[in-house]
Amino acid sequence: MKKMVETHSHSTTLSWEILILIAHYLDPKTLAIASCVSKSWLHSMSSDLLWKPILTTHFPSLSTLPSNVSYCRLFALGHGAAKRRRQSPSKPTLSLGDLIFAVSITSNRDSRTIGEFSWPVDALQEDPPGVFRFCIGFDCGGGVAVRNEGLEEVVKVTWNVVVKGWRGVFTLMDYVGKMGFVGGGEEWFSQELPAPGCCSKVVASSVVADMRVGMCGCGESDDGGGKVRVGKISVGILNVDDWRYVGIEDGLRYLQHFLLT
Amino acid sequence: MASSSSNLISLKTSDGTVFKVERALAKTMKTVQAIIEEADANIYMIPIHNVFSHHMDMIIDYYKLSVAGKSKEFSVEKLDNDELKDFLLAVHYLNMEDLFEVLTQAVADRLEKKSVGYVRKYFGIENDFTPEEYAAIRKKNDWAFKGDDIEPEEDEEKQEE
Repeated sequence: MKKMVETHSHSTTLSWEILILIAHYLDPKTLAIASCVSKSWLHSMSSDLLWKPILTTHFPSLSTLPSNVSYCRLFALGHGAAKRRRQSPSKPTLSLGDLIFAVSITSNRDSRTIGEFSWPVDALQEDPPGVFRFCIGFDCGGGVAVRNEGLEEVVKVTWNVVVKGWRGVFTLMDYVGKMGFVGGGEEWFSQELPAPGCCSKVVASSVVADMRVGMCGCGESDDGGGKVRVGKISVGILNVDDWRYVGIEDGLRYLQHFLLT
Repeated sequence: MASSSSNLISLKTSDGTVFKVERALAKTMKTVQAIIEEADANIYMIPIHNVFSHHMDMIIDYYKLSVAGKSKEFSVEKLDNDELKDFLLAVHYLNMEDLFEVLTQAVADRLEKKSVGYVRKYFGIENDFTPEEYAAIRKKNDWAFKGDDIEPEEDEEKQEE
């Protein structure tokens, strides 16, 4: 095809009529960009005539709003709202490697320590994987051996989370409850967690701190009775709306509210 | 009323080339059609100003494709921006509805997600905003500038995002 003779060194100027016709074919973003070109373009490219069909296509529910606001503005509002709706929560700034769990179980009667533990969280086993629940098993049991009495005793259970370097502390559980000392038995402790400050309890879902302590027998005591120790511990954050442990990221995001300033 | 006995209409472009086109094609050019209908006697040659022979070549290409039901295959990709604008003007002058729509869409596609500077340059428009005015307009339309697919602004405009 024969190329045009290079007589035009300047840009061809299109008539206003043609410009407006082109504007009808522009997508919303390009149209908005076009309205920044010059004053006259600002006026023409924001016209209701151009924006009404765009608004009705993208946000039909907004086009029925009674307002004296331009269609162009309504579209911008709708666009922003749609974006916020789609927004997923940002990645947590805390990671498991930043945290240490400290659990202590003491007799409420005489403050005798039954078990005292602390672990870096990234050394713990996620159980099940991907979920904010961690299990620790102890060979031959952990903590102080207690007499196998078969009776229940009132204990104080605390579960704290500490940010490495002591940059923050949050108490997930501070609970007084009953515990039986039977080899092979499992105790279950649960305590409501506060809702993060930004949303009230009504809006945010309910989570609890969840701890299970399993005892295991470990030989005989001097007086012939059996001894038990803490055999395993699991801690986690449980959502009581659907009885599932929250995911790792959700758990971290939750703790962030309280651990980071 | 003029009525040519032959089925071909002669069109003479600005650069002097004569094209013999089918009556049906001439009919798609409303400007030409009006000239034919207004003439008292037979018209042998219709001059079409603002239309060059390379425009006519493309017009005939488009016509052939659309008659064969393949109008979607028509492409103006090979034209640069100025050539496309000139072609648009020619087709606008001839008042050819379908092809004009195709070309307007093509121009719109080329402008898609381009920067303000690009659009200004393309249409040869001068920025008559003060820096403050521009900043205010930019802020209002900020949503349109967000996204990976948008071309970044050139620094020479000295406008901040």
